[in-house]
Amino acid sequence: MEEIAQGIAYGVLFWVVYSGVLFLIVLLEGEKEAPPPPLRAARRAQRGSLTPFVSIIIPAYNEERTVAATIASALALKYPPRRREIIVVDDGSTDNTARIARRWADEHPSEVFLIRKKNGGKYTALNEALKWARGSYIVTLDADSQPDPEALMHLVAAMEACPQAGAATPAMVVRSPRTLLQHMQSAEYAVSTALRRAYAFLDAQYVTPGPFSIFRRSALKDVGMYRHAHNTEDLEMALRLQLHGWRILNVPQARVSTATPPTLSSLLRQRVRWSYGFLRNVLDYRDLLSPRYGHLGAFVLPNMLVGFFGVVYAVGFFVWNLSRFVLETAIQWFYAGWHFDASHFFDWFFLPLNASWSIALLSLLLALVLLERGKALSRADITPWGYVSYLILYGFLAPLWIVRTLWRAAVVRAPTSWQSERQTP
Amino acid sequence: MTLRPYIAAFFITSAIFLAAFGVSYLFNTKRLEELRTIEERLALDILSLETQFDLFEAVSCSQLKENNPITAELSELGAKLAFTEGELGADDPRVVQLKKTYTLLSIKDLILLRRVKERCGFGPMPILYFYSNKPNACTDCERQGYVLTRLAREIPEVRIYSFDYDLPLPALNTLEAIAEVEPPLPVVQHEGVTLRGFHNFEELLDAIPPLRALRDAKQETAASSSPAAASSSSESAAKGSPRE
Repeated sequence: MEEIAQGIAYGVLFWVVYSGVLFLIVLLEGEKEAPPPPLRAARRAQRGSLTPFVSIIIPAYNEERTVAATIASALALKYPPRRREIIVVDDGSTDNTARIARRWADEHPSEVFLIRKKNGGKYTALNEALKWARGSYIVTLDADSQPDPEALMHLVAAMEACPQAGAATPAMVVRSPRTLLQHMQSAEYAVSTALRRAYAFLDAQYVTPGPFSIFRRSALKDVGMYRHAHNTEDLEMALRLQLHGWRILNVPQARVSTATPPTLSSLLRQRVRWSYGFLRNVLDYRDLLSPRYGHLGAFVLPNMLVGFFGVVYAVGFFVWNLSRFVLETAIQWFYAGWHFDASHFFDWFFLPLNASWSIALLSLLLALVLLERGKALSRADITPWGYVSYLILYGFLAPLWIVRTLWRAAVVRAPTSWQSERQTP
Repeated sequence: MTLRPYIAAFFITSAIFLAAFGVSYLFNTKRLEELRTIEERLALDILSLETQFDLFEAVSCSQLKENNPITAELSELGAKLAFTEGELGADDPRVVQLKKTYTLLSIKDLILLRRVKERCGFGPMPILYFYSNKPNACTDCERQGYVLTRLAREIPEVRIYSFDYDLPLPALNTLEAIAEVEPPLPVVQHEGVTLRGFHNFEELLDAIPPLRALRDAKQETAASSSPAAASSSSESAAKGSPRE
């Protein structure tokens, strides 16, 4: 029985390493073939006479602490002011969000507009703005996120260069990490940047993140308005675009910093919402799970689904073995007393140099390479705490929300709303 | 849809796994080699001591007392064999072979120890410990092994001889027959005293009075000397058990 369990664990480990190696190959080869366009090209594109009109939509619900900074960052975007509009949608906030947004709208009447509506959820806020938006490109900007000044130019330039693109995603970085979990997320976001880039090279992105994704107006017209989509409308929209044959680009030069959950409970809430939304949306769009949809259907989505169970198994196996070791050590300590044999400590003979440890170390090394690549792409600032917490903690935390997600999916209960997780000003 | 990266990733991952297993195999081979080297050295030491003993007239008891590296070597061998057993599994034929040699050397050392004690009147106090590694055959063996580890550490005059009851080795079977060892295990034996089942530290001291006498003497010495001297004296403890 133990041999079978170990065999499965090796299988899962093989799959994890294989996925990592594959995405690394795709990333490195893709970058070699398609180097990022220099900023000058983006600027040149914006100087053209046909600068497209862009609508930036900021949906907000009780975001009084962050909305002003978000509007300010949108106004600071390097883009011709007459070729953009900023639409803030107050989704029935009960705090001062509407009042703050109104002040900005009054101060910038030709650029900032406020729409107020009854609370109905993020997707209703986005749809309400879409009714009024005039842009040929629509940019969603979460009210707790702030793009770099050059970000919009990069996104528009990429979209203009690729008429088949229905959307483009940015590189996201964690804004001002303070807690250990936020430092961990800053490293995680760097890995996500690398993976998202690899997915983009495979035309297999399955999410257009709310913080600063851009959409072609005609693509949205083609696929329809936003939907509730199990509280993950950005994921559902990406799957719908893929289903309709639109490409989704990734532009890591367009960088946006975003607030992240500072505590374990808020992080778990957010990740359960994401994971649950992923599972339910993939179930809704199960037709995509086919090689007809290229790498997305043949590998990326199935890989994510397998990942749900694989990660839980691998960590469960590790925790089981760790518990056995701890229990055995406790029994030994109880009956034999504490005794540290220094000669064993310095003797190579007793080093745990076996296959499992070697592969585990190599997996960590692989994660580190992806992290470094993502860090370079997103120009993220990751502290030593970020590295350590990600490489050590993340593997234990991820199964927590995956197990909770599977549990919730089993008893069919929707997770929490979209706003309550983000608490960092 | 190009399959090239998928195939390349498969080969790279397979190479990584092969390398990892290769490294593991290499280290295990080195470990087995080291174990064989220790066993050979130990066999030579025992043979040397036996020869010295046979030449008893020419060798004084004090010389025998001074030149005995066997305890430390048996202890090292036992610890390393236990680690290798954990890495490769108790059923691995290479481990079983090494364990047989280790058991034979232990038995030879036990015989020699008894002879030295008989002729010279000194030497460690032998405790025989029979255990089983078979699943569910001996649920108490693990903690009994730990208790004996403590015993050997606290009373360095004690030498534990651990024997895997199920090891297919004629010499061991003979020893088991002479000592009348039968399941249930664990069995702890000293000079005709046979203890079956688990016994904690105090129960062992109660059942084998010379042990208590040695421990009390140790405590008195420790109390009368400096703390540093007391702690250094227990460092030379022999473990002697592949389970420890």
